Amino acid sequence: MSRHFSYEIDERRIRILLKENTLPFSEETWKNYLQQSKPIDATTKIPQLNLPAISISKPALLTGVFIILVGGFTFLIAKFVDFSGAKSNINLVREVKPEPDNYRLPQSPEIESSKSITENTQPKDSIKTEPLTVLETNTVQPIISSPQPSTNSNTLQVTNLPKNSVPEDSSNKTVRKKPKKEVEIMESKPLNTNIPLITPEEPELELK
Amino acid sequence: MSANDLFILLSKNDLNTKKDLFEANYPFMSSVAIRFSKNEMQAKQMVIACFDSVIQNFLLLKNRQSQFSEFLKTAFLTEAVKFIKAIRNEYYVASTVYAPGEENKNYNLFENNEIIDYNTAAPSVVIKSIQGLVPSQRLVFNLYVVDGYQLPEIAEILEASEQTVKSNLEKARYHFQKNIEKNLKESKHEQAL
Repeated sequence: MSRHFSYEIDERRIRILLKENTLPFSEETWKNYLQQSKPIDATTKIPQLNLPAISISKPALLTGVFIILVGGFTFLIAKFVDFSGAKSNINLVREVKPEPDNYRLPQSPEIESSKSITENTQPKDSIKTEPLTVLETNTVQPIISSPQPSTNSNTLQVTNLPKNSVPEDSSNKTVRKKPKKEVEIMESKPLNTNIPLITPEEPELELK
Repeated sequence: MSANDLFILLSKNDLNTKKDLFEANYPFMSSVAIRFSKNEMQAKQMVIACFDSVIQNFLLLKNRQSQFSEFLKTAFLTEAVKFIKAIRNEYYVASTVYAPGEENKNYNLFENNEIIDYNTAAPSVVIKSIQGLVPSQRLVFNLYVVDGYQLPEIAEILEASEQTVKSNLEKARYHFQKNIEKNLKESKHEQAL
């Protein structure tokens, strides 16, 4: 197209000219119509749905389709995946019924009888932690087992105090002894003193 | 004849009624067909095909009180556009290349120092000039200049963008004027002979 083009046509005149320009009607025209026209179908009486023309660009349509697809897959996956934390915040607390029988160990009847004896001699509640008196000395000498305890001050002595007694001198350093627990008297079998004399045959040594 | 009676007769395919309607509306249909088509033969085919389509569309109307002549004026234009667009070997190919048969492409207005008065051109020259346009430009020129449609309406009818319609209209005006010049020269040359 030339840049110097000037449109000089009167379009109003062109409009009138073109609208007035018609073809004459003749029987030949009607015969041509009868030969070429198609009969009206009864099925065409169904009303056509005039859908509104929605102009959507291809890129926008493709983007929308992809978003729908990705969203659908995400929703499907989210249904099967548990997004809650691996460690549940719920602390499982075991209900412990306060029954005293839960803390008792099963015991045999003999032990129970021995236990009853010990109970008579020493009640359970009377166990006390009694410190022992220890005399401090510079040198430590081996302890000589003797029926009577030595009164040497240089030796380390341990006075066997009775269980229920309270030390008189509390100023000295005392070593606390672990509280004695109840000792279960187990069944003990008597040892057989009669040892069978089985002497293997030994070879006679030749003394030279 | 009432619209309801007309509807009943057309649904029964009454030939007399159809002939009366065809004859009454033939001038309008032929004027549209001539300016929309590339030649007279194609125009006659367009009249027959589009008239059948208009009758079928009229029978599908819910409002049976509408006048057939008023309905035909808008429906025939729509069917004519569809008819031209259906001729794919002409519509989609000719829209991008020049029409065949053009040997002399010299449109120099000042070659012989002639001043051309476009407004004195004969109707046959104007018809021939508009039929010389490519189908897409011909449709846009007819709908805008002759039928009075606006560019957005034409874009909706042709299913194209408004920019495309505007571009086609500018090209149509340019080639229409050039065709008038060429046809005027040819007619003067024929008269001289």
